[in-house]
Amino acid sequence: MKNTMKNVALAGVAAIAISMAGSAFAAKPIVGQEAADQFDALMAAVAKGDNLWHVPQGSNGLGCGNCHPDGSATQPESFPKAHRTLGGRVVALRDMVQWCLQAVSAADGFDYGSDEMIAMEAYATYMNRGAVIELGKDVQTGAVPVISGPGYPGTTH
Amino acid sequence: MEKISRRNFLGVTTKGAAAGIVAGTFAPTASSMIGLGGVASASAKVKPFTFAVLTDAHLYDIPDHRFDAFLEESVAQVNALKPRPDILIYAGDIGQFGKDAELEKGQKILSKLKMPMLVIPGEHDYYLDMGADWRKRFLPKSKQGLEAWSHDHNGVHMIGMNSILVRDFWTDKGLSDHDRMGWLEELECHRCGAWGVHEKQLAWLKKDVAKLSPDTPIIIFTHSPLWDYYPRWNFQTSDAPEIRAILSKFDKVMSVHGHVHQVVYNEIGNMTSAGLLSTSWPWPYPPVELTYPHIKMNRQNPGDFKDGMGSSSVAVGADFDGVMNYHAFSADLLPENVAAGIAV
Ligand code: HEC
Ligand SMILES: [Fe+2]
Ligand SMILES: [Fe+2]
Repeated sequence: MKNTMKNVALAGVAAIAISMAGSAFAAKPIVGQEAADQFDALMAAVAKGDNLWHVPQGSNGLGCGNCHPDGSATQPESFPKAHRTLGGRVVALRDMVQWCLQAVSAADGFDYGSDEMIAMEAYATYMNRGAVIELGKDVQTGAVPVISGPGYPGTTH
Repeated sequence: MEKISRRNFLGVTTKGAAAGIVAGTFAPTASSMIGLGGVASASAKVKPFTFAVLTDAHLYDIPDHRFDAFLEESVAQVNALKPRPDILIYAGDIGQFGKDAELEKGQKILSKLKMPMLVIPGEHDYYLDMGADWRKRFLPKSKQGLEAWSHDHNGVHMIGMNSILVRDFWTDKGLSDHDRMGWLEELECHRCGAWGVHEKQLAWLKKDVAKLSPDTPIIIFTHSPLWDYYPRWNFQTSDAPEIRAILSKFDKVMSVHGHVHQVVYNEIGNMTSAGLLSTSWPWPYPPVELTYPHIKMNRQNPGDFKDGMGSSSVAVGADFDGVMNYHAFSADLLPENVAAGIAV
């Protein structure tokens, strides 16, 4: 995992270097079949997250969907932020996902970087797509208008 | 005789009643008996009283679940109210998956109420067996077959209806009872469609209020709101327009509903409408603009499992003026204006 992150970071550095050298793109934009495949892969993760969201993960029967219908009140757009629930530390979305899994839903939680954790983040973030990124936002939460039905990726729900 | 049938109707018969309706420690007090057996008066004068409302306990068939304790706490809250409410209405979602064990647990906890109780169903009580266990435990024998009731108290005509009836989406697809309940268990159910009270109850309602004069105070209880709040989460009742039309002849109608797990208020025509605190979990406000945005609850602290919940009661005055009081489990849930009680 760490290595991958490093590679991504290095690729980023290379891209900046090349664009600074006058080239428009470090690599060709992803189009066609490759773009479609990537989108499908993402939607599969969202769908997996949707499924995980709506079944109990722990021993008390509480699924995330009980309290966060449509991924509401998870506010991915506000992370990272200092969170009072986690002692005022600056935390990422996955830290609150993990906290809710363990503390609220009495579950073991998912390993960071696991397909499951990524799927949970993908679902919450996808449902809140369009929200303006506002790190540290700390307001009365609301739900997001959900664009569902036609255009919503087919999931088992 | 009249008293007995009325008490049957209230579901407060003696322990072990064959119908299995809510039984327990109810001891009739002078105030709780006032008005029992009465008929709706044509005069708008109300003998002031208080009623309590509990809703959305979502009990699980898991021993010592924390929601059990929340329901117990809400029962203790309303029992301790001064003056003691004459009557309590349970506004639906006692259970989570409609299992009889959940309903049985709820019935046991609710039997500690010190006032009579009337109950309406929520979707979580209903769709495992289409309400069979719920009816057995919570619907008085005399009401079997309808799931709607009316009850006159201190000059007020109270009405309760089953507002969570959806059209059959399971038979064609060959879904099991368990699958059907699983779908309905999800708030954002993509398949369930908009629910309502449907034709039979509408016809009943028409008849029930036909002879009442327009100045009769009306309080109607449904699980879901009688206005289009957020249909995606079934924060609506599909035939609410018909209900409001039938009740439009009255000077004032007070609607009180569960399902939304939050403080919310609206007015349409002659109807005021107030949502209730749950005893399980709170819900975030849907992404719609409210006409009365100052009547809301505050953001919850996820680290405080009791935050966002509680019980509710309404003080009904002589002129059929009402004040909804929310009794939150945790401090700071209610903004000052809401904590002071809202006019309903
Ligand atoms: C019993 C209700 C309940 C359950 C179940 C629950 N949560 Fe929460 N969660 C809350 C509440 C209440 C908040 C605080 C909302 C707010 O800040 O207004 C919260 C906050 C969050 C936040 C942080 C939002 C913010 O801006 O601080 C995330 C992320 C989150 N929950 C994810 C989850 C996930 C993932 C699950 C499933 C494992 C889950 N929750 C289960 C009640 C619940
Ligand atoms: Fe509910
Ligand atoms: Fe409900």
